[in-house]
Amino acid sequence: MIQFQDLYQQYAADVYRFAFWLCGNQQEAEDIASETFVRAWGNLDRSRTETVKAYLFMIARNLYLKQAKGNGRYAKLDTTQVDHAPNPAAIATDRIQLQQVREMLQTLSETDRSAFIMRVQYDIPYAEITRILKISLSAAKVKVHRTRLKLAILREEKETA
Amino acid sequence: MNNVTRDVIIDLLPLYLADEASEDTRQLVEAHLAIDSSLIKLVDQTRNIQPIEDIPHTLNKEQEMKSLEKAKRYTQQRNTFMSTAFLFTGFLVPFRSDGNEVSWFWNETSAALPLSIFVLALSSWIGFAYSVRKLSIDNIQEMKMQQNTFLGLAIMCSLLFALLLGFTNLGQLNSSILYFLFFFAFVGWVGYANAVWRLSK
Repeated sequence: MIQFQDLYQQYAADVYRFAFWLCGNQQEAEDIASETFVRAWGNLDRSRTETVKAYLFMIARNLYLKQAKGNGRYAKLDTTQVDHAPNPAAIATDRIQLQQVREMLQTLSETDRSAFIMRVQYDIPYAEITRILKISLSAAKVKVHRTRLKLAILREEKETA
Repeated sequence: MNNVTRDVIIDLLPLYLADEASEDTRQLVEAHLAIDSSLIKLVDQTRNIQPIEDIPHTLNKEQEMKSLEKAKRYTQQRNTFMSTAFLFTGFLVPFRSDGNEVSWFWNETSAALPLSIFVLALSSWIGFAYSVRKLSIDNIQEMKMQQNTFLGLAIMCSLLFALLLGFTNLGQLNSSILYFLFFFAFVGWVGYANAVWRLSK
């Protein structure tokens, strides 16, 4: 049987990042990540997905939706997120880009955002994404490509500016 | 007109890139791409979108330990409530046979005793439902739990109502106890019907 510590150490970073991309807030992402492992641990026998990571993402997303519904909003940006990378000059540009990407992602619907993050950031198979988001395979693919297109347009606009 | 067409093509691109476009749409997009080099560049960029640089995670050992303790506490609570709920419910159901006659085990005791056990069983089931809710992974699981809780409440109250009415000398019963059980059985069945309806939606 898988140990809690193993589960946590193997997936905590990914679950935190996934939650962060969803909610855009560090504190909230930490809370969602912690709660995800509590609930996953209490329901290890009830996996509805093929992989552990997809299962954890599904729980994290449900917690985010529940929290967002409770707060009456779906997006809140945390501007205090700090990047700990070593080169401040290079990172200044990266941080602006990252911030722009985060802001762009926050303008998307939650399902578009989730589908894109799961597919592009974490390489979750489309079949798993359809299970988690409860949408069709075509819808999942279109959502991912629509977001990719938006990012490409954002990048193009930045280059021409 | 060209701008409009380009915008329309951009709208169609997600379908085209996802390989979900119809043959006509695919041909339309490809015909436009053949004469619009900037759009080809955009399509290439879209195809080449790489994962965004990972943000640093801020979780630490202390948070891991807190999660572990919380997970242990919640699962322990759930298991304890489940055990006591089954135990107290089990106390309520036995019958005994005196020769030819079968009677409810609690028939000859004061009604207060089975009712006390009933209250303990009910409290345990409610505690169990609450602890499962704290560990639920999605709305469907929560709604199923609500449905089962109401069903359990309805069955327990209906059963006890029938047992008290059928096997106990009514003279020793306070009729308000029966009203009380009838009310909770009714609440249970209505709640169960409502939960089934919500789940079916």
